[in-house]
Amino acid sequence: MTKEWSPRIVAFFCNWCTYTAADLAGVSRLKYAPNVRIIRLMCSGRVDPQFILDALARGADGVLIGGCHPGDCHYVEGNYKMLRRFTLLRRMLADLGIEPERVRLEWISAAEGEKVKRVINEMTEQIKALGPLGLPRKFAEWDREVIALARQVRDREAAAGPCPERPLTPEPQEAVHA
Amino acid sequence: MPKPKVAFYWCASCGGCEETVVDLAEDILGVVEKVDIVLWPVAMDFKYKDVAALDDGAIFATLLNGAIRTSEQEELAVLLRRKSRYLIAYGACAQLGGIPALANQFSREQVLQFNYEDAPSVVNPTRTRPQVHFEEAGRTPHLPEFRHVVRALDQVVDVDFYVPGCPPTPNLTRAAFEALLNGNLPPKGSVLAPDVALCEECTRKASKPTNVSFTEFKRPHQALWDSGQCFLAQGLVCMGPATRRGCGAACPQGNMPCTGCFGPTSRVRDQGAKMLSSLSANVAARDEEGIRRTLDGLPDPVGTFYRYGLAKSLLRRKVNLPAGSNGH
Amino acid sequence: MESAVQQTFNQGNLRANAAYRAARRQVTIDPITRLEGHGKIDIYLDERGDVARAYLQVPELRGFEVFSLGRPAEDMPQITSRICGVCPTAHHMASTKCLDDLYQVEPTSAGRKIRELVYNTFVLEDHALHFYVLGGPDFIVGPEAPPAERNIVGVIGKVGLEAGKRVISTRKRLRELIAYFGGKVVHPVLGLPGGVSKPLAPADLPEFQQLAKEAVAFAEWTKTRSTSGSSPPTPTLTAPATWAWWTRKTA
Repeated sequence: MTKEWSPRIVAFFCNWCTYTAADLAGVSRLKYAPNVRIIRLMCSGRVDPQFILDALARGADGVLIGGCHPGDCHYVEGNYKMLRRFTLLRRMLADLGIEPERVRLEWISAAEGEKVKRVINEMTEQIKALGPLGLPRKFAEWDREVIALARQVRDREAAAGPCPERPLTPEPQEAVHA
Repeated sequence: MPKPKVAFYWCASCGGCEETVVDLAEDILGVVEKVDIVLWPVAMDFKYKDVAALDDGAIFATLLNGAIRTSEQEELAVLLRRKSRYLIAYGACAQLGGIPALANQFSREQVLQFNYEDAPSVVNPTRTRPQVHFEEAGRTPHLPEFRHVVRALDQVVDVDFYVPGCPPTPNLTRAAFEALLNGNLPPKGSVLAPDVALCEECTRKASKPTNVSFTEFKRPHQALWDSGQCFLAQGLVCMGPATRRGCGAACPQGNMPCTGCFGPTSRVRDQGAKMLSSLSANVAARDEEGIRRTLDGLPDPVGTFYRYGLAKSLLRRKVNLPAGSNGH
Repeated sequence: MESAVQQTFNQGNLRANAAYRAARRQVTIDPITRLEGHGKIDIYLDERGDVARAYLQVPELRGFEVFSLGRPAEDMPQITSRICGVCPTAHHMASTKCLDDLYQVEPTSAGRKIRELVYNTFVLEDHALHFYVLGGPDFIVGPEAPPAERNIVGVIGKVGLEAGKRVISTRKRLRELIAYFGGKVVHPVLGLPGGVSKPLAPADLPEFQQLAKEAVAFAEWTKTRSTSGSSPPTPTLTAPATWAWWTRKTA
């Protein structure tokens, strides 16, 4: 009996604004969806696009980045850098088949605990509607075509010896839900 | 004392890596003196059965180039891995997937349909596709399976070392041979090239800006480029900062920017993401509209940032493409 | 299995397969060699040993036609050159001419001359590659020679080390010329709509003029040697491949 799927969202929150707001949400006992794992960074400008891609590749269904409002960055420029990176990354992700809604950037100041709740709830609903991204499972599916061959080579050689004069007959591909 | 055996093989490849070995020029005579080449389809008549007949591990080193796209290429990779003490992924395609890995943005069906049916120059009224199984009067020629996904070599077999480049340079190749023959090898899995960005050896380094602020990105035909000034300072995308050195900054010598063929240094996991990060962070605009307008100057981020590295990128492929199907 | 036993097994296996094929009268060439590309040839013989049917199987497909879609047009000369690393200049130049057409520009006079210089240089060194390294061994060393000799090393053995070095060094200098303009010789970068990326510095012109003369002389020398008389000790570079030879029957 498999558990019903629930979105897994990784969040990168900047220490000075959004993380503090999340703290505030907690202290205020605001209820919001439990689907988000929060990672605290000193600044949204610290978010390397590699983090976002890595999170998705490891199974996240969505990534949320929270930073200070424009003009309020503790390090002056950091959130602008994030905004610029996010703009291009989102477009590139679309070219690679990932729906833009899966990566979201929000400006949330330290006082906006309510906004943390709202954004997380919204995003969880959006991702629920989109369904799982499931990249680790996808990678495994993609790689079945190679593993099948390796198994065949091993079996064939166990039976007949290691000479590839007689060609391998590739197994017919199984139907897989894309 | 028998000479060590060496093999060269090519998978989804263009032959440029082979040309680099030939470009060792007179040095190739020295190589031929020291080693026994047992497979090199571009230049020698040894066949697959000759390799299969060798003992496992009998080949001292195989330099394998090209990406992996067909079942035959996988089979040869597996065979050569077994027969070789050292398997070296030679060139960008074997190391990262290379330009053929751009096909990971498209489905297998799209490739087959266009190439065999829809392309304007194709005449194929019966819409015949390549058949893996074919029989005619008891004769059975066959073709390998064309995979859904383009792979780098280490996504199929265990790889000992990498020689980067599209193609690698004769100097790097010479150095790799010497290291192998002298037993002077870095830890397994190393890339046999300096671990520093291209800017370090580029003649334009002096004008590389410490602070750059892009108001636009130009395309190579939109200006006459100063032959001494850093391309980034001139507003043209150059992958140099995200690319390993070792080629002598050959493309900037040709007055065109680096496109990233040597792959990243060891400190970067995803070359394309890193360059995207660096370029976009340095856009001048602070407002959404201005940012978007500037970044519109990069119409093809995948082709620009992952030109050689899509197969080994974190996402590997356009993720909503099919993985398998019934038959072909 | 122990190594000696493995070896015996392998050889026995090969003999059995060869016998099987001979009984089926099938000759397999896998892979085809001394060209760029992948291929396998299966030849089926009839009872008299004549060819009943032959199949060329090309086990390679990369999909340039499709994965080029969506790329900026001016990236195409460098993408299409990866179709072939032996003749990248040809693809590069064809792509560049497409860009001229796309942008409706004529190359500048100097740009055109540089393109022609690069391209002619490429043709010369590419033909030299084919003549001496790829196709040449079939004629110079001969198809009857053992596989280990049917290659450039065997060619050098036949024509002599001096001649071999001349071939190698001429090709090298020609390829350095291409790299001067194209950044690198395999997958050059010079092509742009309406011209090329890099000018020729006037100070470098005399060296290239000299190289061009020497390259033409090299081509003439190749031609002379290949049509000279066949008496030793000067070996000819081509042996006549007669119709009778090609159609001789296999056992």
